[in-house]
Amino acid sequence: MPEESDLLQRAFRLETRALTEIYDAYSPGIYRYAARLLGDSNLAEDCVADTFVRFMDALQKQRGPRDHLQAYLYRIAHNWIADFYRTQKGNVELDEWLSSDDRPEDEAAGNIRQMQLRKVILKLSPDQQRVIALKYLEDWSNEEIAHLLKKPVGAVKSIQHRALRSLERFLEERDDHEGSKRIGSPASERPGSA
Amino acid sequence: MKDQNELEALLRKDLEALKEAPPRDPRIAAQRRAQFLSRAVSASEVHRRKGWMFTFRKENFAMNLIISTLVIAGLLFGGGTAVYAAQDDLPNESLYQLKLLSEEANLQLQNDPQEKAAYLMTMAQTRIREMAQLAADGHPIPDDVPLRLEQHIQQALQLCVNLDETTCDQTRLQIRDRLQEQDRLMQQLLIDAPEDAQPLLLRTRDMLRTQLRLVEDSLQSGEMNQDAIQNQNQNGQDNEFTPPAQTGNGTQFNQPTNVPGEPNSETGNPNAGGGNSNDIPGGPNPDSGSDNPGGGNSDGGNGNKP
Repeated sequence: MPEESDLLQRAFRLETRALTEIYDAYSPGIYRYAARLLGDSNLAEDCVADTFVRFMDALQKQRGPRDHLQAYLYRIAHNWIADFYRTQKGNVELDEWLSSDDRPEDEAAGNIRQMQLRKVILKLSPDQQRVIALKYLEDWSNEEIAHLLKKPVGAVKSIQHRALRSLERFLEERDDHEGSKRIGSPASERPGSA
Repeated sequence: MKDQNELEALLRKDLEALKEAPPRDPRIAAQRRAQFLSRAVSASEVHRRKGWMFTFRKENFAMNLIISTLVIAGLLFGGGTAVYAAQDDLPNESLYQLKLLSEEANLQLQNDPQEKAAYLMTMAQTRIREMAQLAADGHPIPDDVPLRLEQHIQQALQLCVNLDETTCDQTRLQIRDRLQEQDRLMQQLLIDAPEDAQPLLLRTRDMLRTQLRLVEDSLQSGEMNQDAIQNQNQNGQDNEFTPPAQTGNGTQFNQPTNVPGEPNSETGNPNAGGGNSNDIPGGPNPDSGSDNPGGGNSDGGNGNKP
């Protein structure tokens, strides 16, 4: 791939070749990122499409990034995902998470746990969200994340630690909740059994 | 208090589970790519025309007068000839833009959607001929040519929106026949073309085959129903060119599926520039800093937010 600055300059002139190169270079990663956080391929495709449409809108208005294109695109995608969860208002559609697995209840419970974890990640502060998603889902290094957040590596580590503690609290609460459900509730109250 | 490693160990299993991203459907991915590229071509052409117009506006009145007079004289005495001569021009030749403009004008003159679709497929055929000619002459094929080809096909498919079911199927059949013909042409072109043109031609052939499969599937299963395309039109994608929004499973391009609280009447036109005052595309995100793209678009934006 050519130098990013050159590519962006050509993108600002709305050269189709540059736009194609950008799409081909970044859309698979954005899809993966969105799919991991959304857990749904159709939504992830919507997120990718909207990310690039918004990017092109910005270019058409002669706005958009002058550098750090990847960070810019990931931020658009991330905000799309955060907005999506906000509009969901905490509802988990159980049917969506049921699969045709041999043990649908276990599968559904696993899917719900993942969904809950995704939501909790999206409830963290924006920097914490990005650090967790990029570090643990996308395997970015602390240095790469520091570059994206425009913060020193030490600050990234600190954000990461605070985010992990928040997640730990969530998991403890969840396990307590599930434990109490197992003790006091009949099978009919298990997720997915309604 | 647990240290970083302990926390990581505790959470790793849960976070690892999230890594299992649902796989991407290559057909949907190809379709979305095609839609983006169609937009890119449209945006690029609009930009080019704007630049051209801007150049004219910059000139002073006298210069405008001179140019206008020359243009009018040219059109009166040689315009028709120029347009005629341009029909054989290739993308690397001087009158090619004129050829595209005349094609566009002819397209606008077609009133019947079926005829329009047929004309679009003829335009697609022209793009393939241009590619063949360029390859035969040993010239590089500009990326715009296959992108336009794709755009023509998408536009032709889009026209089904305005047709009743029977006519729509007839049109799809026409498009399918033309696509099959184009696929054969492309196959021949791949045999004859020099090696350096092969990657682009292969991509183009794959695109043609993807479109062909989509049309064949839609003919078989009755997919690509008009309602979905109509909805996409109502959501207002791109006034200049709206590629078919339908994915293989019924989702719409650029429109999050099943998002509650999103009025259908929202125009969502990404080119409308609806009052995004902070230079930042995307939906509202109160937690996001002002440098965040996708954040803070609470004042109208492009309407595509989830």
